[in-house]
Amino acid sequence: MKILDVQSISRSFGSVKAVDNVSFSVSAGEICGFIGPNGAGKTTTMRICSTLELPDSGDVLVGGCSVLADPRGVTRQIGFMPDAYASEQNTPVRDYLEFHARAQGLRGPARGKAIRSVIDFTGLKPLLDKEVLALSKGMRQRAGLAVTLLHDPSLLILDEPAAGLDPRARVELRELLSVLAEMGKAVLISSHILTELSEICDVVAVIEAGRIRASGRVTDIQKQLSPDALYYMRCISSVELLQRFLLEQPGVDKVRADKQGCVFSLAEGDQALADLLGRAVTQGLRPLEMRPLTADLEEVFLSLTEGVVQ
Amino acid sequence: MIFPQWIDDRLNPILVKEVRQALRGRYFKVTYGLTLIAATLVGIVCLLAAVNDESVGQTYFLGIYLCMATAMIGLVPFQAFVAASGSGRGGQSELMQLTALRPRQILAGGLLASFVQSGLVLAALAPFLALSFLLPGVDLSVLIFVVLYTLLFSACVSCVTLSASFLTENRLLRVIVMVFLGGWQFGLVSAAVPGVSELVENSSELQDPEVQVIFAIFAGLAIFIALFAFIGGTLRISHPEENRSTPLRVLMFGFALAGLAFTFVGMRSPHAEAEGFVLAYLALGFAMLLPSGIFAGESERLGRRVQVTAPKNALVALLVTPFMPGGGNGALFNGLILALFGSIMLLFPTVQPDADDPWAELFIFCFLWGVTAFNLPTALLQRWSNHMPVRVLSAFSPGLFFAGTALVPAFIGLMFEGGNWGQFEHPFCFPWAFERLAQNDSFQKPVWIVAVGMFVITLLANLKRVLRGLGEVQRVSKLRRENQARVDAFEKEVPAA
Repeated sequence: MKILDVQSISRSFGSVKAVDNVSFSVSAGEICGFIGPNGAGKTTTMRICSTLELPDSGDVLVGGCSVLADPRGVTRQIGFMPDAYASEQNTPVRDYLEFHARAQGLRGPARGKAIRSVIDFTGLKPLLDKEVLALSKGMRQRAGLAVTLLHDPSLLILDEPAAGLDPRARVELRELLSVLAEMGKAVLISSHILTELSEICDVVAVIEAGRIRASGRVTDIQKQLSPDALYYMRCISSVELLQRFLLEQPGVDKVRADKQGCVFSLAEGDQALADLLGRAVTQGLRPLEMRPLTADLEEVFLSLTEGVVQ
Repeated sequence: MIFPQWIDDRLNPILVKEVRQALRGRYFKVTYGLTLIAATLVGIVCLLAAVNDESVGQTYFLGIYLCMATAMIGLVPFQAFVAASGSGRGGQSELMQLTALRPRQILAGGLLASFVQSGLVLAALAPFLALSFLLPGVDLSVLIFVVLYTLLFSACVSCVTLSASFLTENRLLRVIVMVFLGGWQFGLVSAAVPGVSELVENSSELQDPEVQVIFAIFAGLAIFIALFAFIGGTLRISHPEENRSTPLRVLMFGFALAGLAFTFVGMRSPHAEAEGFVLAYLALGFAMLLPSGIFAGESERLGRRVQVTAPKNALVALLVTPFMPGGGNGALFNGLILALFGSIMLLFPTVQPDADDPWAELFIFCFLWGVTAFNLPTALLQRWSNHMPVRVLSAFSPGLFFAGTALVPAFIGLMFEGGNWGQFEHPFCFPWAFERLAQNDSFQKPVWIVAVGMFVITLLANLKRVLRGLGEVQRVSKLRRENQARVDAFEKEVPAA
């Protein structure tokens, strides 16, 4: 079920077209990585999805509500975490969460339950009496995520949540997001750290110069870019022998050697692969390893984008 | 336990947050402490200075009042400004748009928090006030009146400072606004103390109906300014594509109705003086028309979020058209107010057209000039109303129109030796023309020709945009009806949906 449906949105600031005819969707339980270079239009798109900006044309539907016609209906269903989460002076975490729970219209026992639930989920219990401004960056992001989750939104929009976090905090954030997706929430997340995204994202949308370059599963995008499947092969014999052998085989293309083995592409299916392996054994190469290569988000990103800055 | 929970659930979140922050913060503690120390010291000094006087209570009360006014009209509203400015930093106010809170709740929360702080200050000063009553010279009714009046003014000033905090996020401009507000509050406190002194010394004046009317007018104006600031503030923090015009129009309309009702009641009283109320009319009319210069300069297109709020019923849509955003609808709003104003004026026996009474002619003359000044320049600028500088110019255009119509003919008169035109004695100069009519002299014909001529040109210049405004509201209303019909048909077809 589509939770977020971005329908051909465009937005200009003066002569700069920040977002140009962008369309993609995110379903329930899916984590969508929204990637693109600086100034590509990621934040503008996310702000439009959060009703903070309006598109010049097109529409965004969140759970069936339009950001144009029913912004209140949209805000009820989203949790938006900007790249720099604002915080208040003289406010302990406990009051911070309570204020936002009140602001989200939570009343009576439901408010207490929601606060307790997000505290447990984000592990903020030991920090409840600490002032928000005194928290570390990672803990402040957690507090921000807790605020975002208070009203149990079906869609989370997270703008660079991992920026400035140490490796441990990143891993923890990644785990939290995976749990949220398992709970059936749709997550739209932007980040520059592609290795982080590749491990948790089900789908990605690559944006550059305001236009979507590709969207969908990383493997599907990889297939679109290069229809042949990539494989890695390692043998006991020398790498040079292996490389020569592969170059001679029908259907094998783009052979690239590294210190221990070779990466190559093969146009045909499993039968061709089995034949290739058989030939390698009969020719005495003594294969140790042969495996298909999974799509690398970084490679996909670099293949799709040209580093255009607006 | 159920009742407190019910109250707790309905408390404004901003109120809870601001009060907690204020009580935890240094500013309030210092302010509170200093007010108490100042009240104690000033009280002792006043007591020592006037210990042998019969009016020692008055001197003591004035000393305490000085501390009270400084805290309630000066420091507490200033704290509201500082707190709201802090909350607005770092996109916090933008994030509030994503919560269930409406802009008016955000502002109301700040205002209530400020009111609570005023209440705490008042509670702290209550023993001092009680002592001033126990000392000879202070009437209880005056004391209660002054306290309540100060509380009202404190809330109104807080409203203005809170709204001013949303004016800009630029730090330098914020400092300028802060300095301006500080000066204004200092002026208010400086004016309040002598006024209260006069009242305390002549406490019987409070029984005088005329004095009561004056206090009522001041309170009414303060409430109006506060409401104006409140609505302005809420519009400032609402989304740019939300309807930012209708609330202000409704307020101005309400203000006009209240002013006219007040005048109507005043005219019925046996002590009414026609001329006095005529001037009140004029002041009311111009005060009311001033922001409508902004309405008439608005962009014609109804925003997408405004469109979904247009009434579906065609007749209702027609009736509310003057209250919908847009320049043409702004011109219509001006026309509506002026028509209402003129028709009620004519109902009063004292200002009905009379051969010996020039006021009726002056009213009609002012009406013609009012329509022209507020609608002709904006109609000419309408084409470029999507540009912000033009909209700002449009807002000031009525004033510029009065200046321009006086200056340009005077300059031409100087250049071409056109009689007395160089000395601003020409029918385009509003003050000169007004004076001619008031004096009933022989220059009336050119004065009327100019006024009526400009009025007709104004009507012609505005006709197209008024029709366009009416058409736009009707179009949107029809679209909503059609959408509703589609939804109804779908629901009939698929009842489960």
